[in-house]
Amino acid sequence: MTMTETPDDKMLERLFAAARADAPVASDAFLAQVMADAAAMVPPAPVPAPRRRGPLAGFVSALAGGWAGLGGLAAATVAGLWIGMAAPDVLHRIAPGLYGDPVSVPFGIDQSAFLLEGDT
Amino acid sequence: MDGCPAELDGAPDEALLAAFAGGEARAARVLTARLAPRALAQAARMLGNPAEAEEVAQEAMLRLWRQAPDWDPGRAKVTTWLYRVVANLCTDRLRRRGRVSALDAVAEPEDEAPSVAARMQDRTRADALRAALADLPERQAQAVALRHLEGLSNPEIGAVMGCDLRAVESLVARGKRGLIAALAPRKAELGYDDD
Repeated sequence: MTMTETPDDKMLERLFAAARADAPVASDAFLAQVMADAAAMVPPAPVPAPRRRGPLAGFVSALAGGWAGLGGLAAATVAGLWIGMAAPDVLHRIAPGLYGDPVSVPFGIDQSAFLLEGDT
Repeated sequence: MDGCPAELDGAPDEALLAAFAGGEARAARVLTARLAPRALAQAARMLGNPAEAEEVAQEAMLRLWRQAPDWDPGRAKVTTWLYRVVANLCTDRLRRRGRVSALDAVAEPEDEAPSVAARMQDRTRADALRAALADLPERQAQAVALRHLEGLSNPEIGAVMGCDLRAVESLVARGKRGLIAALAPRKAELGYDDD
């Protein structure tokens, strides 16, 4: 079916054409703003579920004072191990500073107590 | 499209939206490049005001990002959904403008060079059309704009507006009659004396 196009129809077609040609080009600033909106709304990516700890591990950790307590415990263990393994001469050097000068204590018997009169 | 893998560049809109919902920010970059200029052009053709058109297009894209996690792939194409959102936002604005003619907002030409004058004539005609569109019933204005400004087919318009073909044809025909009734008295003013 062919419809006769009236002058009014022609006018309308030309008005539509004028409006179609009157569209702006998207500016970089506009596109950047749309991207910024998207970046602010991107849903978080799914993360793997954390590994489950046994009840005993949680109990021990809590007993030791959490991570801070466990850290202190580890440091003390290393220090104790060092002291135990260190060479004795190191201890000899630091012992006078801690306990004072060495003192000799004789455990022998005083012979003079058994001497007879006139003996020398 | 720097930094976008080829599989994203070639992916359908719906797959990109699903990827965005899954935390893939690069999918938004591809969707923005594809859809935002189209939304902007649609809004500009309907509103005739570049600044307002940017606001509408940005708002429509924002709604798309918001919708992404709940997007139902079987419901509609992303482009169809976006056409509808932009058309609704524009008709809201046109209605709020009321009977304030877009013609009133057009600046006088500062340069009398022929090319500038011709461009201003085109702008004046386009603005007159938008002012007449603003006075049409909302659905008629949407149907006419989608058919004659966006170049959609009647079935596509039916999908966007949620109505059957016969309703689309009726809306477009009544809308065009309304436009002619509003614009015919201004023929001379719009430079159509020779027709």
